[in-house]
Amino acid sequence: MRSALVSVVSPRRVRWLVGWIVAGVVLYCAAMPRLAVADEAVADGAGDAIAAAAASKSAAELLPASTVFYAEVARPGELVDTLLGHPLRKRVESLDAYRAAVLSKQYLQFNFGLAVAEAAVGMKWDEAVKTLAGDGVFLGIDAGTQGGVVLVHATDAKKLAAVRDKLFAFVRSDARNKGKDDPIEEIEYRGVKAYKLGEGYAATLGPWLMLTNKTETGKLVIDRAADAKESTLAGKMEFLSARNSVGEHPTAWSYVDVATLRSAGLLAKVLGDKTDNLVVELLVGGLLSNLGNTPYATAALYIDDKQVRLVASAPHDPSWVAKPREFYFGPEGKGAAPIALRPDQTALSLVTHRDLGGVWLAAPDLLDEKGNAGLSQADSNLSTFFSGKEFGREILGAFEPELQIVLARQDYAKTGGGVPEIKLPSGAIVLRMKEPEKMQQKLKVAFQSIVGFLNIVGGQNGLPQLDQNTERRTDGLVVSAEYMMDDDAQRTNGKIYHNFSPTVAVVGDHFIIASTKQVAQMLVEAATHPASGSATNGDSPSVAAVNTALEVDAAVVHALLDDNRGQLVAQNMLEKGHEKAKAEAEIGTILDVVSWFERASLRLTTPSDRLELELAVRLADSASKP
Amino acid sequence: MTFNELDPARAWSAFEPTATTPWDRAAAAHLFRRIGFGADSGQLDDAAAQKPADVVRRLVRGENADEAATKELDTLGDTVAASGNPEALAAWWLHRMIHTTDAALEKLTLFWHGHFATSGAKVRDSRLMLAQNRMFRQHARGRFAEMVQAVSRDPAMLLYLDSATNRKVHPNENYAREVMELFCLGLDNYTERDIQETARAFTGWEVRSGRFRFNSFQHDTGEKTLFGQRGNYDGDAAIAIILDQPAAARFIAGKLFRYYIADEPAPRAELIEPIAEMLRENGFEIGPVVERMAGSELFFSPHARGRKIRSPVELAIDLLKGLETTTNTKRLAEDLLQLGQGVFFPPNVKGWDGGRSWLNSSTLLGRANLARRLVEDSKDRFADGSLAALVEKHANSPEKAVDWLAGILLAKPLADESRKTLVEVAARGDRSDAYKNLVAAVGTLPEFQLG
Repeated sequence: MRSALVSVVSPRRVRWLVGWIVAGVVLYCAAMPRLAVADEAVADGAGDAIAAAAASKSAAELLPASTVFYAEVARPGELVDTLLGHPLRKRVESLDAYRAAVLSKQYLQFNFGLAVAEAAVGMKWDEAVKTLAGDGVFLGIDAGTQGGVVLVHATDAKKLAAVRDKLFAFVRSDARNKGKDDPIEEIEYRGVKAYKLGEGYAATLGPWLMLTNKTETGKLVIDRAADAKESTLAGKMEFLSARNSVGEHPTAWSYVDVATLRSAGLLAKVLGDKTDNLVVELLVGGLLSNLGNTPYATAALYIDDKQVRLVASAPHDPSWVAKPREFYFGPEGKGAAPIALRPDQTALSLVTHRDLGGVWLAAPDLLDEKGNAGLSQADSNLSTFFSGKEFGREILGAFEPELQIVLARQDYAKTGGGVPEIKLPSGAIVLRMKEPEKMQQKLKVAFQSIVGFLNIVGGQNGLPQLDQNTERRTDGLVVSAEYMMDDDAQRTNGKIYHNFSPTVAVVGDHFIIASTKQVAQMLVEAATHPASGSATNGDSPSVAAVNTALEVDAAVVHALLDDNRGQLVAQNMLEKGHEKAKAEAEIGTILDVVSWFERASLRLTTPSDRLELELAVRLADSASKP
Repeated sequence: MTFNELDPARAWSAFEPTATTPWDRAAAAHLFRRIGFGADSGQLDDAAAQKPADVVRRLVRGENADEAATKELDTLGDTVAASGNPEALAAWWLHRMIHTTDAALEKLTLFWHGHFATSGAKVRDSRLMLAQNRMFRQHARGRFAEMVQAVSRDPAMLLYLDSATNRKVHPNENYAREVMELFCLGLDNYTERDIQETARAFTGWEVRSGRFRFNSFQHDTGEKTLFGQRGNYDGDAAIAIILDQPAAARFIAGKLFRYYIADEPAPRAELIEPIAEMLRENGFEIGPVVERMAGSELFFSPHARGRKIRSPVELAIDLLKGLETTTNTKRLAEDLLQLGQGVFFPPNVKGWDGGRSWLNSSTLLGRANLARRLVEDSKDRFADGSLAALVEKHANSPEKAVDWLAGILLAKPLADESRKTLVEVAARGDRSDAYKNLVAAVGTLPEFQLG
């Protein structure tokens, strides 16, 4: 089974299948109109009954129950309309890079071929797609036969047959002109005629065009068209459950039979190997637990004028998560991300439920030998800064399993320090202490130790010294370390260390570790006055279900890139050998593209018995209007 | 007969074209290669149509330098240095060599970089390395004494030679030794005592926070004896005495000879004496000396043409400039480091040995591969078009393509057998691939290794 599935999804086969899909759909659609008046048999000979039966069935009813991957674009016409009529289209077409691409040799060749096909049938390709694939394009990969099948549902079965004949006539004529044998071999199964061309097979079943790479796979489809008793994908409970879990009217959606892939051993490497990197475990450990147990997974794509949204989903049961990975979803899977604190000019905010102490202590079960060796060394080194305390249990374990990471653009005018040539965003980690009274002094002392260490190392490397300051700010305490300035000459076009003023802050039970004093101060304000609008819940209507939420503000990212435009232009000149004007144009294009977007977000949620990962990219208002 | 058998006066007299040594595209190509970094077809045509002395003067003096373009390259250097990464700075300098409007200045700056070798691998501060590079460029054509004085205060140099501190109770002899041996006089032209006394003169010359500082408390104000002269000398006075030694001018003239005329054999003292004398008479001003060398009979004679092995930098930049193209200079910097000439990363305080040391079985293969990679990476940037379009603008047959390319890239005429092979390459397959293969094939020729 494993080798069979590997064979089905091998890159070569995927390329072949994609090639068939594209060639079949484009030629079929392009050739269709001229033959629209053809009044030929809908199906071939004895296949009439089967074709008639197929007409009333869905793609899932034609595919076997052993289908491990299914994908559908139910309304290709709508997708074409959305893409061609999208407000971004004109903006893309106005880009220099786009104009250069459409003048490239490859594009011109492609366009010429398309124009020939369109001229032959007297209809534009987009119109042909909408007319002839209006009822959907479907893909299935069958585990049993190692075959893939594409089903295209035409709105008119007669036109489909006519196109098929025209297509085959064209191929045969071309072969004859080149002095080659008839490239199309006709075969028949249960009265349905199928055609072998190269490595592929094609058949029409009423309104369905079927393309496959395996006769056995094609036969399974014909069997299901002919016989209602055959087991079908549509009759499979997992598939029905998957279909029901997908939201309304996705642009496209897909289903994967994870249980079959797992039993075939295809996921063995992903699920079996331990990582040597604790961060990887923190990022995907819980997802791997789900993948090791869930029966299936779905992905749905939604595209409209405002945003592109991809939602991946799978059944989930907290009991699937072994004890060492409890750090990920929390006990009984009820862990939730904290409310996000949002300082001004936040470029990226990540809130997540992760028990850092838990993962540190469970590391021997989660990491490989190399990872554990590294962790032991880190544990030992870090304990030095914390007065010999055990880092995992006594330090990380003193925090709630909640974590926020913030990256924010710096306002150098307000820092009073040097302005670096390369302007990096401030970074901060926000944690919540279980016992603030006990912990804050220990953490403050540890910070002082670290600053002392940095001063010694920095001094050896010619860096200026860090000067420690403590200030009370509203209800918070901010302990910062700022680089001492030698003279005014360092204040502009300064070195990269001017991006940093390591700071820790305590406000309530929040503990903040920040790369700059500025972002720490803003986070203290946000934690003190959450109603001021600087603290939000990540736009989530059900915060408790959110395990992880990542949000990127494109406007701030744009500003960050713009702050470093000179550097980006310089890198472009050196790496691409461009003159300055051309490099500026390329970087300008990148900044233009970023400005089209409002934000991007990634959310991992656990609604009831599911695990859901949603990626959304939202366009800026200015870009989503014509 | 070698150049050492030539009459010095005749050798350094102004070049007069003759039937056997005409002023033509080949002679102009030789001039551009040696004094700058190669030239494209149009530049060669223009140069061949002018008087050689005028071309030499304009080139050596940088009369066609574009101030705005130079300023842009300077600004780019500041931006790149801000990354703090000397490797990125190497990419910037290569970019500058490709795009400069004063190639002779960059070639001289490269000479001084090798002469006063300082490595970013040790200094690790790109701004200090950039400042040194600018200092070399600023003084490149000027008076050598001022250059040595500037070098003696240069933080990158002092850090490189572990001379960031030099106290009177314990004078640091490192820098003093290099001033004598490598920078000004050469071996056997000084004594250990001279080194010790020079080190005393430099006491109190320090680097603090990346800046030069004279610490008068640490300066030895006592009397020193240098080359038989006695006095309370400081560093600048010591440099003046050192450069006053007869060996100094010969040493610099000899190094310039190797850089601009021929790798070997070593020139006899009599041959370079006119150049040394010119240095002495002109206060060690470098520009006029280079101009005289570049405009001499010897420079255009068979004793100089094709008598140097191209350094990796010359190999790459000559090719790129000749084909009017550019490349990813970050990657080029890495490639050149592998071939033995990482700019900003000389191997040691002696700089690059040059000459035959550029070639061994490994670097020969690497140099050929570099030629291929440069034309393949350059995509469609050859004079803003394809390589095929550039070649076919100047040549309408495989034979002419080979001859045109040889005229641009090679210092010696092609051997018949080599030409025949190249014509076959140029005639084979798709035009675009054929010309790329042709350049790559040229890159494998022994003639291509000569500059």
